[in-house]
Parts: sequence; C-alpha cells; structure tokens
Amino acid sequence: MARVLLRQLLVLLLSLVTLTIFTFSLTLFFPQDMVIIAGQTTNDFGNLVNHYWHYLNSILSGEWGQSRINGQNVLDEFLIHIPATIELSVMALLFSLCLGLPLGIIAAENKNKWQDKLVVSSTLIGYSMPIFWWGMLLVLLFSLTLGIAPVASRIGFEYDILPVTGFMLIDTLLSDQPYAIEAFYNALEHLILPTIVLGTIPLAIFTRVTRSAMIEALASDYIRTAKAKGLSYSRIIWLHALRNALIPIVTVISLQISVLITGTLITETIFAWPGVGKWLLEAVYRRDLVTLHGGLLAIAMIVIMMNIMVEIAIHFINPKLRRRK
Amino acid sequence: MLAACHYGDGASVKDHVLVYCSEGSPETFNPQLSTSGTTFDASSRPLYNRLVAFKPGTTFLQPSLATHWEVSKDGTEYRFFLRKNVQFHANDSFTPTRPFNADDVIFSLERQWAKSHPFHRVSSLRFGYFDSMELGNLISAITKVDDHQLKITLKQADSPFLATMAMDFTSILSAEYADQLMRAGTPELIDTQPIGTGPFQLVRYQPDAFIRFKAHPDYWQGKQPLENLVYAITPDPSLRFARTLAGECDVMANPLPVHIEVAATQKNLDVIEAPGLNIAFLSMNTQKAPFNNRKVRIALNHAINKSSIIQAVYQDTARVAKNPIPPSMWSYDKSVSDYDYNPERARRLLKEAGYSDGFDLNIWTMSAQRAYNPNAKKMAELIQQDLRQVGINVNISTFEFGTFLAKTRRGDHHAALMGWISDNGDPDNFFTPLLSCSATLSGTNSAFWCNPQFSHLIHQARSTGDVLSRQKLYKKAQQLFKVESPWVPIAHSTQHVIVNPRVQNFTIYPSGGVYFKGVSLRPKIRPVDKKKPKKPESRQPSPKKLDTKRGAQSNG
Repeated sequence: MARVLLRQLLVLLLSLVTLTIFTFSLTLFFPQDMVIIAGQTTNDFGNLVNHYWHYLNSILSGEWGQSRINGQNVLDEFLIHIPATIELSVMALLFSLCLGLPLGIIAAENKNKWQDKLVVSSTLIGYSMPIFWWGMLLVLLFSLTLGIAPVASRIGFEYDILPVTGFMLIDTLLSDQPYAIEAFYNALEHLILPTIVLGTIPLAIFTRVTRSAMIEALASDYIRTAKAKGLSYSRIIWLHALRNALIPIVTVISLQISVLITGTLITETIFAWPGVGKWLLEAVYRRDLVTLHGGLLAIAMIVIMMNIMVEIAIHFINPKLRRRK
Repeated sequence: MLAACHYGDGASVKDHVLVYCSEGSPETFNPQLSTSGTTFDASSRPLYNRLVAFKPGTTFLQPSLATHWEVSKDGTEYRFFLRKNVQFHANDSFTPTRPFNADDVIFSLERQWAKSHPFHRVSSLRFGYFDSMELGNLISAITKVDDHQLKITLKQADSPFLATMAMDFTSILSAEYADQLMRAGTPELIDTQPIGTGPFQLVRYQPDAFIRFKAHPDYWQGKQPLENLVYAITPDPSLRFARTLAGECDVMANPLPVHIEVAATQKNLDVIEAPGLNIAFLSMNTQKAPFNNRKVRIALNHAINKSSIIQAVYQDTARVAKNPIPPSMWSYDKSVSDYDYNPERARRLLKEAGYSDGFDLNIWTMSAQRAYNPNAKKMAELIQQDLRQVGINVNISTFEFGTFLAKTRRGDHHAALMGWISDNGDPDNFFTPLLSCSATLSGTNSAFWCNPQFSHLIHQARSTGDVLSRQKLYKKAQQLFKVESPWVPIAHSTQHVIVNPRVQNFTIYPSGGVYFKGVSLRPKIRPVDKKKPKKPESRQPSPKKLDTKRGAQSNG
C-alpha cells in the first residue's frame, strides 16, 4: 500500500511541476501583465531557470499576483469564490450519483425491456443536451412561467447571511438571524435548478456506465453461484454485483471532475452564481491575465489532485489491485 | 415549494428589502477615484453627500451639506456655510466622535488636489474627474474660516463651479476616519470600507454578486423609510430582466428596448421614463482628410438617415439630435435647422469637395451597451448602408469600451460613434470637454475640432455668471457648430427604468444616476403563496412621467 501511495505522490509531484512549467511559460508570453507573479524584470530573459525558480517561490508562498480589477491577491480571491463552486459541484455530483446509480441498476435488471429502453434513450438525450440551452429552458419554465423556482443567485437578497465558511447551506445554519432556517430552505431552493443543469451530463454518463457495468457483473459466474446459493435478490444486487461494478463507475467519476468544472463556467453564468467559473469569465471580459493565470493554476491543481485521490480510492475498492504485492 | 410554508404570517423579510439589479461591480467605493456611473450608483449616491445637491429629477441646485453660500461679485470666491450636526456612519472599526465640519471638506478636496497630501497616492486609481475638469488649475486656495464656514478661491470666474460641487467626485469623506486609518497603517481602507454622511451605509460587498446597504440611523434628513437596500450585480441584461420579471428585483438598470416593450405588457412591472441628458453622435476627425473639408462633413450630415436609426436601434425610445446638447438642457437652440436626409444633395456636396468617386471610410464603434446607445454596432451598420448610397465605402471596427476610449483619445480614428452623458446639468459639461480647443489635447474632443471663435464663445460663457448672457453665447455656439458640423449628431436617448409597482417615489435623474433616497416600499398584505408575483392585489397608477423640459439651472 505504501508503495502505491508513494507512486501516486510522485505522479502528483511530476504533474504539478509540468503544470507550473506550462503556466510559467504563459507569463513569458505576457511579461508586462504578469510581471508581479514571475518576479522578473521585463526585458531580462537571460536565465530562464532562475526565473522559474522565482516563479515557483512566489507561487508556493501564496504570492499569486494582484488582480487588475480590485488589487486583491488572486489566491485570496480564488479562495473566496471556490466554496460556491464546490457547493454546487458536490450537489450536482450527489444528484447525478443518487439518481444515476439506481437508474443504471434498474436498466440493467430489466435489460432490453421498456424500462431499459426508456433509460437508455433519455440518457442519450441528457448526454447530448447543450446545457446553456437546457438551463435557459428550465429557468423559462420553472421560474418565469410557473414561478416555483428562483431565477438566479445563491440565496434571496432579503436574507443577510454572514459568509463564515463560504458554503451557503452551512452559513445559513450558523447565522444568528431569526430567519436562519427559512434562509437555509431558501438557499436549497436556489440550488435546485443549477444542480439539475450542472448534473445532467454526469447523470447521463453515470447511468450508462452503471448500466453496462451491472450488465457485465450480473452475467458473471459468481452471480450465478450466489443465485444458486439462494441469496436474497437485494443482497445479490447491492453486495455482489454493485461492488464489482463500482470500479468502472469510480473511474468515470474522476473523469467527470473536469466535466463538472467546465460545466460550472456555463452554469454559474446562467444563474449568476458567484463561484470560480463566473469569476474567471469576468476576468476574460476584463482581460485580467493575472486572475486568469491564477484561476487556471488553481483549477488544474484541483483536477490533478482529485484524479490522484480517485486512483488511490480505486486501489482500495479493487481487490485485484489491493492484493497485488 | 420548500419555503412556501414559511410565509404564513403575513409580513415577510422581503417587505423590508429593496433589490436593485445593477449592471456591474463598482471599481471602488470612493467616488473621487472613478468616472463610471456604475461606481457612482454604488458609492456617492447612497453613501455620501456633497456641499450642494441636485433637486431630485432636475438639474436645479439645492443646499445639501452647505446650508447656503455666497459668491463674490467677480465670481472667484465662494463662501460655503456648512450644516451643523451632520453625523457620519459608524462601522465595526470606526465610531465618529464629532459631527461633520470644514476639515472633512478640506480633506476631501485636498486629497485630489494636493500632490503632497498623504492620501493622494494611497490608491492605484487616478482622480479622473478632478483632473479632467482641470480643477487643480482652477482652485487657488481652500481656506477654513471656522468649523462651519469655508472659503474656496478660484483663479478665474467659473460659472459651472457650483454645479461641480454637486458632482459625484466632490463627495465629502470623513477626515477623522482618514486619520484613524493612517494611524493604523491601513489608509487604503478609506476607499473600500467607506464612511460617509449619506442616507445609507455599507454593510457588505461581494464583488460580482451583491452590495448590501442599510439605512443610516442618524442621517441628517432623518432615517430613510427603506430599511435595507441590496444591489444585485447582474451584468447580463436578459438575466437582469428575468429577475425583474420574476419579482426578484424591484428596480432594473439599463433595460434594452425590447425589455421595455415586454414590461409595458406586464401587470407587475412599471416603466418609468424621462428624457436623458445625453447624446450619441458620429464624430469625424477634422484633422484628417477628407474630414478636414467642411463640405464632406456636411455631406455626411445629409447622407445619414437619422429617423431610421431611431427606429431600428432605439425602437423609438430616443429623439433625433441636431445640436450638441439635448433639448431638455437650458440654452438649447430650437431655431437651428437640421440638415435633412438628402442623399442627392450629399452626392453633390461630395462632388464639389472633389470626392465624386466617394472614398473608403473606417468607422469605429464600441461593443458595450451604453445609456445613449443601446447597440453601437447596429447603428454603424445602418450608417454603412446609408453612406454606400452616396458612394462612401464604410468598414466597421468594433472595440471593447476601454480600448475604444483609449484609442479615440489618441486620435487614431477617422470617424467614431461616440456619446456623452451630462454629469452636472450645465451646458458647459457638453461644450468644453467635447468641442473646445483645450479638449483636443486631452482627447475628449473626439473630432479634434479646434475653432478659436467657438472656443472663445464657450470660454466667455463659462466665465460669466449671468444666465441670460450665457444662454445667448451658447446659442451662438450652437449655430456655429451647425455651420462647421464636426459631428453628425444622431440621437438623444430617453432613459428608462423598470420598477416593481411596490416601489414608491422612485425618480430618474437627468444625469442617469440611480438614487434611493426617499424611496419606500409599499407594504403588502401577503396571501399564502408568495411565489406568484404576477398577480399583485392592486395596481399602481400608470407609469410616472417626469418632466424635465423646464430644466433650467439655478446659479446660487
């Protein structure tokens, strides 16, 4: 196990070095704009290694340069915006998993029956849905026509919630305002549409992967043995089949992280959600290269680290890998 | 549906909060450091007061932090008598120990004026207005007579000076707060954690999300009826409108013409309109051929069909312009006759000027939507078609707003679609920055048109205090402008704001700013379901229409 961890750590280190070399090279293209980060004098490109060393130092010490818009440290700005994005992404991930796994299982159990066909065809639609359009459609229907969901933002403006953790659901509960519980429900309401929009594509993918993994698992010998032993149906599905089907699912989850991050860019824009995606898009409009550089670096780091965590998780789940010495 | 049951008790939290959907984040909370209306809406207007104020909805001046003032005969000395017992805001780190006095005024003006002032270089932003209005060269001394009397001496008479003292950048900040911050080693907080005397105080700001204000409990005109005020920052106009439609916003900034059309059919929305003090125009660079030829400039005036632009770009929410100032501005010359739309005549004039084969022209536009021009690109395309009729081949280049301003100020353009909004309701605010010789140097005179006779007229008008003689001089200037035609004046846009009928006493200011002083919310007996904003119990009377046509200016 230690060897696996060590190897993953090495991969992490290598990926981060490659990443910083890439972002460092960006600073060379725009020396005027990025001078704060690299700590370089603009016309002195003599010693690249030296520059890179300075750059790494400033990145590691949290000096990510100052936003051209409000003069704040980019790393601090990122940390202010990331909780909103995490909140939304986690909700979307939960939504797609909680719905995707059962749907996939149902489809697999009823392979080629109408339930299966319904699930497969609707996942195809979900998968190919342009989410910008989908978001607009939901807003038009639920917010503007039916009036049962809020149009945008994280919480109604009538609630004054102090940002303690940055996670609205937690902050509303921590709030000492008389309307704290009411505000919590309001924040939940505001999460519904963005969660659905962001979760649609992952939901479609999880459903399809679960379905095919379950079909494969259900057809295997050990399931037939389990059936022959007279085990209960739910025990067979949940304990034996699903456990083995989980490996491809977890792998797919790791792939969905980057899909989610791309999705937040669009979803946050549709719903005026004050997270990292909207923050970066604003930076693009304002040609704020320092912010873009910082955002890129931070997001890439998150994606790399999440992927490595999933790799490690797979080692725990997969007995073949776990026992290999 | 989750919260449906939480509103059973009649009044809800929402009854005490007004939400304004604004178009962008402020750069700072210090109006001295900005020239952008978005920043003023969030800073000078709710948070601060000036010595002098505009009467709501007009360009008349009225006392504010100064109760009255005296102007010396030669117009170079202004004596302001300051209001007593005006309280500043208090926040977590600052509690004022004294009311407003002359020191605060001196601090606020000297910070922008004196390069040696400890706060002059505190922020990375520049004092845009103070510099471009050349107040540094105008003011010769600011003297404190006593705690509540102040003397400002000018180098020469300047009749718009009093109106200048009502402009956003002359807002009064707290000198005591500045001292405290300086001692604490954090002077920059004065621009981000503002302390003012205004009707509202800042509670919390989250960039690109919201700004939260609450009523200033000790406001000198009494506490505001509006307890809480939130600016919901929503740059996308469609989203802004969707939020307003769903009842999440009570007031919407900068609606597009299509929104006004839709809102007029909605029962739960009111449209308020007022003539704006603005102009959109095609500026022709008179320093470059072919626009150094007056005939070519007049030919363009004949060649462009303004009424079709009003229809297609403004959807009839604007009126055709012929002078450089809008008709609601005092001293507007009605008698000036406009060049009619006449392509035949335009072709003839071009021929006389020696351009019988036409020429190639590059017109610059900006991508941003402005109050005076909802769609500059579309306007450019219409002009392109019109000019093709007279043989001029137009190429359109679109720039981002900041880049556009920077490039046109350098004079890189041949022709550009420009615009202007008045900040202080004085005609000088159009003439001097847009058409004077001195403005060719700073580049705000985008036609780079320097006519000594014209400049002399507006200089004369500026240095006399008598309104009637100023009026005469400005009328002469407008006639001269028409003869020389450095621009094609196109449109004066009407201002629109969409409001929820529960909002009371909302007034549009001619300068386009959003003010919530005196605004209140109509309490509503709430039925069980709060989520059907489309069925208000009663209807407000039809949209208020403001009349600023009388808009004359008082001069103290």
